Amino acid sequence: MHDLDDWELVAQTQAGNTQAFAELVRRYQAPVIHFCQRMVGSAQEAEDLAQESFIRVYRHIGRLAPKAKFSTVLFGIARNLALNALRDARRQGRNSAQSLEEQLVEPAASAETDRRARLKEIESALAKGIARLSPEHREILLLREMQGMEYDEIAKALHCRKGTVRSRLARAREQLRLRLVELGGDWL
Amino acid sequence: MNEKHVIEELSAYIDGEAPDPARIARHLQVCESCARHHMQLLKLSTHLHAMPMPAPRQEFLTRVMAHVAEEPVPSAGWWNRISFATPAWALGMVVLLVITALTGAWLYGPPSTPEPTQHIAQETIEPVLAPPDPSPMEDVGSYSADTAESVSYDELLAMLAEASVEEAEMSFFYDESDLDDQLEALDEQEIQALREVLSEYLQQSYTENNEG
Ligand SMILES: [Zn+2]
Repeated sequence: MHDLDDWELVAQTQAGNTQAFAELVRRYQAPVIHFCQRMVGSAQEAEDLAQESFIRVYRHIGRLAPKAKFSTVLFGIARNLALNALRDARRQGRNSAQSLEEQLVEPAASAETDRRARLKEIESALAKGIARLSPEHREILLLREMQGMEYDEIAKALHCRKGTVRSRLARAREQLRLRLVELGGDWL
Repeated sequence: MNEKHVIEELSAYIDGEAPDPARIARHLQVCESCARHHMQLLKLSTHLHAMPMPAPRQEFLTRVMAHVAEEPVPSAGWWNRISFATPAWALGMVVLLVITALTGAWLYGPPSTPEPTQHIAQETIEPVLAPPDPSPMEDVGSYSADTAESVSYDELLAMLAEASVEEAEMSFFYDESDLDDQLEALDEQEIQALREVLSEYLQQSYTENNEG
């Protein structure tokens, strides 16, 4: 099962082999949960969204065709669900940016070497900076920088043009850079 | 500095997506402020890339698979037997042309042409070469008039519309610019499947109309 590529696993799932689908979940659970958590903040909500993403893929699996990478399809669904969740939260007056920042782990204490402590500090600043971006800027940065998706794939996942990916990503990076400078990012 | 600054292009540049990277590289060698900006974006990118991804809890997989077990076994409906990823209207064009062909070649007994199979094959290849243009719909209008009520045009449109809704749900599979490619992607097998599905459908509606 490990040596099969994603679309071979999809084909096996279509043929009724649920173990093939379990392998797909195993393969992508960490990045999808991580993406959702960075998008919405709450770890619990992120797991629920990731779970829903996998279930929706399963529901539609009879109709999936290898026109894009499987991961693009999966993240395309996850980002729709995450944006919906953020919209609902905003309607209910919950401040997602605040909850995003509240759940951030503070840098660990000084038992670590200076270098590690320094890295933790940067990580924490980055997480804060990301949490303060708009959802649109956040998602495109996450897909590019953390999931390593190519511009073409991002365009498919976000259902926009490649030129839009290029310009939106440039704005997202600039926004993040400015936020980090605000946060005293002398490391930049 | 007699050159334009390149700050807006740096994001694409570090991703290897800038249209003219050589010009940007040259500018970075002579412009201190753009070079500093470039270094900041590189650092940002490197640190983002290095951010740790926590391992998921064991229960996650178990929970997802428990839900999956409650879902109906995935199956492909009639539309999917052809090719889900083909945009509905493009398939629609094929459908309509096949109908036009079938009307003469199959529904109303032996056609005047001696080789009906070949005739159908030629008709179905046609949309592959045709530019995206919804005008074949008009052909069907005249076809309906010629052949009385044997096929309910509204019903067919309803079926296509239903397929479009499902397409929209999964819209990240294609964009408009892919249409030509997707038309060409219809292989013999898919055309054959399409033909069978339509034969079934036409036969059914032909029988119903004649009984009614
Ligand atoms: Zn410059």
